[in-house]
Amino acid sequence: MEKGILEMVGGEIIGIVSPVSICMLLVVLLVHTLTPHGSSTSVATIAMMIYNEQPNDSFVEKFKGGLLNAIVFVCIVMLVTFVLVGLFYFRFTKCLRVYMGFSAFTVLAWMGGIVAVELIQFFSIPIDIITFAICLVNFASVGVMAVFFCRMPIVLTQGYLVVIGMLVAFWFTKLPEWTTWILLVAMAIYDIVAVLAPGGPLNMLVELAIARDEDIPALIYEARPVLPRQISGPPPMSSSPTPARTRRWSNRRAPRNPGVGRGNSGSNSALDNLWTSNGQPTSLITEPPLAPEVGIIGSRLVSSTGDAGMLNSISTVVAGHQATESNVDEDTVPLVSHGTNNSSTAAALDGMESGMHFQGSDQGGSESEDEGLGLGVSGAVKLGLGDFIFYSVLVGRAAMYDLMTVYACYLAIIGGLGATLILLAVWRRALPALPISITLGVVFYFLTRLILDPFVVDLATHLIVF
Amino acid sequence: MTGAGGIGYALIALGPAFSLFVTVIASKPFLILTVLGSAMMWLVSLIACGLLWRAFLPGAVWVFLPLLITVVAIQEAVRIYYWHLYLKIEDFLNKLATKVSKQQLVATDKIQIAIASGLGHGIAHSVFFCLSLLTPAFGPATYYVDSCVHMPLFLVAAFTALGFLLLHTFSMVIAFNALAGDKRSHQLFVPVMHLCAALLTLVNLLPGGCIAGVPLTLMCAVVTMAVAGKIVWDKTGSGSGDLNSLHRVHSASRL
Repeated sequence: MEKGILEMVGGEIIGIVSPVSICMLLVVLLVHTLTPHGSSTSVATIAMMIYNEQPNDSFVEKFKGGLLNAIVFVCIVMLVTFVLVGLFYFRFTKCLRVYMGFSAFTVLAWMGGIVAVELIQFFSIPIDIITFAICLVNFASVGVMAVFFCRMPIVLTQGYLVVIGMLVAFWFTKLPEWTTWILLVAMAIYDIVAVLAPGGPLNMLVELAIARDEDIPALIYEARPVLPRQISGPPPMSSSPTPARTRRWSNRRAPRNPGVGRGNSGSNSALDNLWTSNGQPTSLITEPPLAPEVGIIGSRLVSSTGDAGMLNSISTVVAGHQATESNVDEDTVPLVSHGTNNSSTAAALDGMESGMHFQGSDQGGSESEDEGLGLGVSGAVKLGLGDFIFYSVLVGRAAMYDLMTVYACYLAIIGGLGATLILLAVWRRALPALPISITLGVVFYFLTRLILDPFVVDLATHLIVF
Repeated sequence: MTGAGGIGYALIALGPAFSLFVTVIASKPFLILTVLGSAMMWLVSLIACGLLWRAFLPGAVWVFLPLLITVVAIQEAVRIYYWHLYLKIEDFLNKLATKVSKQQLVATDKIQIAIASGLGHGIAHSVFFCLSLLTPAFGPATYYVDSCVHMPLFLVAAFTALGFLLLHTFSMVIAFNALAGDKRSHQLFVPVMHLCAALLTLVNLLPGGCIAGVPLTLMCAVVTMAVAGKIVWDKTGSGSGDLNSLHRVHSASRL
């Protein structure tokens, strides 16, 4: 039987919603097991430079302290992003690359090691130090290779990215409560400014990358493998007669450098322009050794005429609603949008920026359908790692109260993510992925905690259900 | 009572939902999105109800009656609103189908979307009314409420959640069908059944009432399932592989 429309729509969104859900689930499990009521030891990070929250401070003091912490954090993130933009501008690629590798290794080995030790203590797993050390070092090394986009199964790369996001998010949940919530809101606001405002660092990074046709080094989660690009020879469009629906493995994964650092680092996801002439990954995001970490967030929605091109078609149908006669068809859609790629957030050493970017398929006007097909058919939706991290921080913090808040925040975040993806398909430009989800998540958390929890628990203990 | 008990309760409440999900929904991304969307809408309606009645709880017992009536009314209103949203989405999907030269939505597709929407409501209900209470169930002890010394709270909650999950899922199928075909009797059936099931849980307030309350809830679910089954059976014709019935289905959906 012919495949109906239901099978085709929404595949890309699910491809992004699944890893986000898995990351959130892992963080909730970790938080629930290890620190169900918040961390007992305070963690000294950049986010707590100004004010160290104590449990018996007054409401106003906590609020002011949290606000100061958040402002300092956002400023550092912004600074680091500008440094990153500068490095990218002056083409210090090696520097960025080394830094990325170093930070990935740090996250996986150091933070992963701490979490592993805590788990071993909790579950009383019998393991000796030598085995543990060997396993840890190997794990971290493979992880570094995975995010540098060596040839390995994409599931492994995706898995490592999710693990990196989970570790950083777990680290962030150790912050005190007020600071965490204010920080989340501050990062969402910063994200909007950084990506949408003309002078914002991420915006600049995106434009630089577009102008140069390069990839931005960043930690990006890619939902599907993109088409392998031939390094030399004709334009890397798939001249191979693969049907539009198949997945293609990509050779040229752009700089997926982990932008982790202590603290926030935003990395930019490279505008993965399959058309870029140089094949190698370019700049890497560097991070300062002590910078907080952060992933890069960027998402990119690639339009295509193939299976992955559903969103493209959706966007044209949506456009069609507005203009009664839209002459846009699948071939011309790529031409309509300029050939900029989506941007990922720049990896600020301290900041996480998220950006979602819709990539128009190509730049030339004379693309044949094949070319549009090739570029588009990569079909990969990319989401920057910083988005993963902040969503998981929100859900992890919700887990410290009760599981009901976790479910409510999960639904809110996924709803926000879906809305952002739809906006992406409609507006076709770089979009920040944090604001809608974080806002919905915070609102739902407080509504659930204050209103829903007593309501439902009271009904349920009386065995009344509706 | 320990991990096995906790997992057991969770499976009672969500097992059928899980199997429905895996067989019907998991292969189609759009349906997964529908489940998430309708779960979110149910959550919003629940928060609205909570906002309305928070001030009165915990309170006197008589509060529950008006509470249940208003809450069911709100949820049925949300169902009608959801139906209008669904019409827009159906329109959109049909346009999209024409654009990529695929088939338009057939009756089985619509039923699947209805199941997915109902499942979203049902899963959200189970999760919030049962799963979120189950955290203590993983510990070494159990808990009985005063009015029900026969079954632990968790077991009652799990069975009731199961009943309501099935009720929500299949009443959405009935509602979609009734609103599309404009059948009055079925349109009234859904809110009335929902209200009945909710009011029957009031039986649980009586001492020892849960012995009657739980089976009554499950019976409401079975009745709803039977009505929904009959509707689907009629709609897809008595033989699903029959060419004539497929034609009928096609033409019916085109109308």
